[in-house]
Amino acid sequence: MTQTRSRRAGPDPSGLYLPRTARVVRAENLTRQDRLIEIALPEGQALGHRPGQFVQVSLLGYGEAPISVSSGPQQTGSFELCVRRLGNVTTALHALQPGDPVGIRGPFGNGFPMDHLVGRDCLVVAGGIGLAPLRSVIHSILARRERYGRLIVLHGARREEDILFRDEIAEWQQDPRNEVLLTVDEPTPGWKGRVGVITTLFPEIEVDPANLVVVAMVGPPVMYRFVILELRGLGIKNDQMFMSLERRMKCGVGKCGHCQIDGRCVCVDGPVFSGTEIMAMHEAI
Amino acid sequence: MAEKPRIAFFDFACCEGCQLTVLGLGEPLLKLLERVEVVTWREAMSERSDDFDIAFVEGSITRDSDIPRLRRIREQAKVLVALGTCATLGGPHVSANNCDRGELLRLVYGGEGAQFEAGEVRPLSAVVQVDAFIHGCPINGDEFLTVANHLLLGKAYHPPSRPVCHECKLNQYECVLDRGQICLGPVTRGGCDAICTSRGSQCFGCRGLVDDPNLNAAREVLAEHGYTVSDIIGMFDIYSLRSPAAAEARETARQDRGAIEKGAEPWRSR
Amino acid sequence: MAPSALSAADVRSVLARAMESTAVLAPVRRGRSSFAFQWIADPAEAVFSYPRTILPPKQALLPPREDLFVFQRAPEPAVRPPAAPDPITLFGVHPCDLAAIGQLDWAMQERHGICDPNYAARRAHTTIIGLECLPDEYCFCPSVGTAHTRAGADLFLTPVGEEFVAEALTEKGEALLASAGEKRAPSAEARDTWEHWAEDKESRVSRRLKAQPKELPDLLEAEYESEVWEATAARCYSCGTCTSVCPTCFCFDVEDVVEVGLASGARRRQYDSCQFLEFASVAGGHNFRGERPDRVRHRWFRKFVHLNREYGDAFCVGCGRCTKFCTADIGLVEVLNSIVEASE
Ligand SMILES: Cc1cc2nc3c(=O)[nH]c(=O)nc-3n(C[C@H](O)[C@H](O)[C@H](O)COP(=O)(O)OP(=O)(O)OC[C@H]3O[C@@H](n4cnc5c(N)ncnc54)[C@H](O)[C@@H]3O)c2cc1C
Ligand code: SF4
Ligand code: SF4
Ligand code: SF4
Ligand code: SF4
Ligand code: SF4
Ligand code: FES
Repeated sequence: MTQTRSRRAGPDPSGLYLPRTARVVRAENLTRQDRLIEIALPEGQALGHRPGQFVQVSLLGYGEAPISVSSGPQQTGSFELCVRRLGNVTTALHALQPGDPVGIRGPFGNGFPMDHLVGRDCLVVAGGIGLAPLRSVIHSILARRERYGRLIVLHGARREEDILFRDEIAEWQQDPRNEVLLTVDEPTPGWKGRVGVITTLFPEIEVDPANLVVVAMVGPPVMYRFVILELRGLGIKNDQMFMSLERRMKCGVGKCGHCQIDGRCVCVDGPVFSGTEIMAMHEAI
Repeated sequence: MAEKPRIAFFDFACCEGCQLTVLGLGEPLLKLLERVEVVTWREAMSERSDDFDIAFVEGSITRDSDIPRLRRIREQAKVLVALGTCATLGGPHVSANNCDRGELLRLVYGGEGAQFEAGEVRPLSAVVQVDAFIHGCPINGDEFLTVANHLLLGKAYHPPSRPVCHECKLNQYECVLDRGQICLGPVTRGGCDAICTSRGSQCFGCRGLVDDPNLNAAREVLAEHGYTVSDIIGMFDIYSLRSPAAAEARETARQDRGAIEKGAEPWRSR
Repeated sequence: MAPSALSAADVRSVLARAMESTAVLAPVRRGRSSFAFQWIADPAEAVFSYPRTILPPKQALLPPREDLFVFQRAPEPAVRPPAAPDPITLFGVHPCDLAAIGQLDWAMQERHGICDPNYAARRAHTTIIGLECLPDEYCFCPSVGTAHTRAGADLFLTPVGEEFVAEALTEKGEALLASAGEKRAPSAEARDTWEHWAEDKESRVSRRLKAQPKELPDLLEAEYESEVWEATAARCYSCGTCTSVCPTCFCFDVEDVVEVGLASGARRRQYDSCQFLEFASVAGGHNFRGERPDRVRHRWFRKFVHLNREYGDAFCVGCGRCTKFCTADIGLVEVLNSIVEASE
């Protein structure tokens, strides 16, 4: 019947809902609540993702959770996830050790418009775990540094110890074309950076709005509203902003209805939406 | 896998119907017993031990003298599970809280009533931290097994907040409202697979209210169906759905989500 | 194909023939005054006239609870697709429910260009026998253009008096019809009733939408902030009955279930409802539709704005189930009409 019209999402031949059994290559804690998990697909299969896409990660008996791919597409043979421990699936993922099996479906979603970034400056706005998907964009830029202009990263965390990828951030800062600004909500003794929500960093940066693309993932809807206001203040237009949105997800393939924002499915049409698209939706932010 | 977790059952003020439900599980219970070691279960065995990991506690707290015992169980248990509505929300006898205690004792036990200790009826969560809630009067055996699986896998169990109507409809039971009866299904937490409406009875709300009950709707709709305020209140009071104790327990259960994740590692089987 | 006449006994023998090679889902009596689709063991169980069932025939294609796949956890994790479903015959499907199966086919097999394999596997082996009906006070099929749907049926029956006029619409339908024996032309009287059925049906409908489905997206968008949502939410229980019983709703939840030994289990889906509190809540505490009016509005917007635009028609077939079975007596058409009136 209509089955002939089927198009399976991703390269997985075994079916839409069946995970591929991948293996954990490396796992290390980044903070008290975030764990970096490097994963290899069976038989050297490539994930073939674009920055901003996500996979459905599962452990049999525990369930599935959408997690952004945190490594860049240039990394072959394996990919990385950065998982914050929040509930049943993420807690079980935190217990994974090298060699352990883990189920993977995907990659799913649209990802960030990387072509649009070529030749332009890039402003990355990352609140908390939002740095996980954006790191994939950053890795892409760093891998072909000459194709892009300035790279400005704004990252906000609860406390200093919650800042993600601190070693890498130090490396990024080595290159004068890159700038990283950090802020924390709760300063601990010795903290020399800024204090406050991520918007406190905006007055510190100077950008050329005509030649800039913003990629962002910042947390609850209210944070998106504040960030968009700040970006407007800098003279940046809606169609130059690309924001990754989070919603509850079950299927990841546009069937279960959970991730819907107005008429759009975040899992298929998103998770990345332009500022123009976001402003046209009632429920986005 | 780590050593088998040690399980204990305890009861306070209740009818022990929930433990009976567990005992009546048959085959699945035997299978479960291969994975755990039951060390204390007064209703089922004579041995007992104070060294246990998971405590299933049935019944509500009605006497101050119960409190030290419950606290001792809490101190020993890595995970404490409230078993049945008496334990999770106070149960049917919360209604005693609305009566004069002395009067009530005289009514039930006659002149000798005065010698009994009887205080305010409270759910377990009013006294100690509860890690998982299994509602129901009595509990649903399948849900007990689901919770047991969750604990063994190191998962937190969140009782569904979906109302009984959902399960009633999924099973295609005829709605008793159509027959002119009051049903508390729309505001009652599901998980029982709508067992009462499957037999043509109405739902009495034994699993307590859902997380966001629309009591205003209940009043309005039932009044339109010709019920008086006292009919409706009578129905809600069977399981004391309006009582502050039950409301507080519901809120605690909601807030405590995830509490179990902290202490459950010993039974992670992977 | 010229219509032919079948007696009630003929229809039962068609059913008996279908039961030889497929499982048959047919409407049966349930409780005191209700009807439900059920897998029947005997053709005599099926009823030929009923207003509407509790759950629609969707239950055969997208079951209330279904294993997406089964798995084994130990010694090594392994996943296995569910066993291939048995061929099925759906008997007694009203025109609105036929239209709904067409909409579900689109949602599950074509939307976003992604095909749900579990749905498709069941759908591919489905034979459908449609059954004409007359509307009751909850039906509004003419308002959404589904009253005369035949598409999707292999065989379609119209009850006229003691007899049925049967139309075979596919080869499968022809074969089923042939199992009733020698073909017989309907009497002139039966043919007359059959030919005038559509007019008669339309004239009996009392619930009507005061706008065309195509006009609804703009009309509703303009009333996004209307107090109708607030007012409707004031008496809505968020019980999810309206979505469970809807033949075009397809949202589901997924969870892993394991057997007591923890060695094996299944990833299972189950009907979910956008009306439930937790439907749009995420770990960490945010609920994107935590307020009841937002959830209420979502149901009307999903059916009459968003999917309406994407699919090109209202995602509602006018079966009246959501209204008939609503535990709070909330009327789908009444809410829509109040919006239409407010915008006039
Ligand atoms: C596109 C996308 C990308 C994401 N990327 C990351 C990432 O890189 N790192 C990270 O740590 N987290 C990420 N998240 C959030 C992560 O998916 C949730 O924290 C996770 O699903 C919680 O699952 P749980 O079982 O641990 O929690 P529970 O509260 O036990 O959740 C139960 C189930 O509800 C659903 N659910 C709950 N919260 C969410 C949520 N926030 N988003 C979607 N579904 C949810 C899931 O199906 C989950 O299995 C992402 C979410 C989305 C939508
Ligand atoms: S909840 Fe009900 S069945 Fe269980 S102990 Fe209490 S009264 Fe008995
Ligand atoms: S019988 Fe009760 S539980 Fe079932 S649908 Fe009706 S109101 Fe809901
Ligand atoms: S239907 Fe209602 S009264 Fe009956 S078991 Fe379920 S919650 Fe309890
Ligand atoms: S059936 Fe009625 S009360 Fe229940 S969620 Fe739907 S509209 Fe609300
Ligand atoms: S919305 Fe209501 S009337 Fe429309 S198809 Fe669904 S149940 Fe039937
Ligand atoms: S996650 Fe299921 S539709 Fe998007």
